[in-house]
Amino acid sequence: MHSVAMCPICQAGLCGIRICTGDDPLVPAPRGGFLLCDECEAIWMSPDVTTAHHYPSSESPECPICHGDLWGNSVWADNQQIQSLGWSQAVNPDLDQTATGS
Amino acid sequence: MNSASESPGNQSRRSGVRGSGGGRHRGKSLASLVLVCLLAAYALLQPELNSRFGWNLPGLPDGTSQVEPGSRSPDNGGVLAPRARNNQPAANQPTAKATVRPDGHDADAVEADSGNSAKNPPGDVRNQRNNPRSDPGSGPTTSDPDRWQDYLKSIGADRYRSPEGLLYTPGSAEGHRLEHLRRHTIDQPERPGPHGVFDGGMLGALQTIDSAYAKSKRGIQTTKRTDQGRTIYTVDLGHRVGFVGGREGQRRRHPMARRVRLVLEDARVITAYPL
Repeated sequence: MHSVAMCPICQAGLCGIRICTGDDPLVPAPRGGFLLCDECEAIWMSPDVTTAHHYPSSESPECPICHGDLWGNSVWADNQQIQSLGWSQAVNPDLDQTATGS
Repeated sequence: MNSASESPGNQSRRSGVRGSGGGRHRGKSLASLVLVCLLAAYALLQPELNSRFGWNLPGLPDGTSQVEPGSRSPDNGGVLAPRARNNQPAANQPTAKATVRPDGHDADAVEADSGNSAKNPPGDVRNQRNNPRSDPGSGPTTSDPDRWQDYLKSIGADRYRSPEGLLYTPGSAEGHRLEHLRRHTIDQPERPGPHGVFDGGMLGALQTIDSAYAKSKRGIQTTKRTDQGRTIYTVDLGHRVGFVGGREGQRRRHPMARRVRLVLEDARVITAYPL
């Protein structure tokens, strides 16, 4: 999991970069990225936590890109995917950790 | 004839030898008796001395030695973690649930037994071990002796209500809020930033969260922030409820946590952790 910042809302979560995979998690081509706090689940649509955020439904969270199931239709982005999003510069390497969850 | 004609010197020598052997035997018996008495006295006094003077005298190797409060009663294969000292958590090992109750007792050890899968709530995260969302590094353990299931009331499929009225429902990357909460009963030393860890395992966490929620409802020692339907409470419980783990906690030598942050959507728990 590659993160941009600690969550400014809950102060304990990591704002990791997720990438929408659509219905098929094996589809390599990314459709779009977003930030997700792995603690409070706040979502940012750009790699900047000072921009507007929103929360997904707590019980039926949707991927903000494809509106499918948040956890089924998106994954934590790897380096290559982050590069393809053009968000590499936003990653804070000090916050990198091995993957937790999908 | 020969024996009858034996000289008194021979007799006395023999009896002397016999006498000295018996004395040695009596001496050994006496030593054994004293040793047994000493061991018995030690076995009786050792716990008392340990508790009274805070010593760490070892127990006798007969399986009767006691697990000291603060030391880890293993559900991790019998490996004891180092003792917690000065309210510091035991050395945090990713595989061990370093959980010490506020009263100093190991909750998991106290509550050991359960393991009754029939009692697991249907939404019990243990039933979701194969859930691809589960984090293999922090997912449910195969031996979880907590009886926290009894603390919550099932109010429908995968939905639970705590005595204070908090709701634990499906959601989060782990599949269920309870499973997310479980992450905060175990340190994640490699996790960047702080990672709040509740004392007392799942049951301790649920009870602490309820206490914090009760306090927040009365507005005592509570800060409250609302944001798009979420309410974020930070409640000072005034006593140790856990410790700060993660990389930051490790760097700061795992400071004690006495506050709890609750992130709620109405009464639904999104996340909660000590800080």
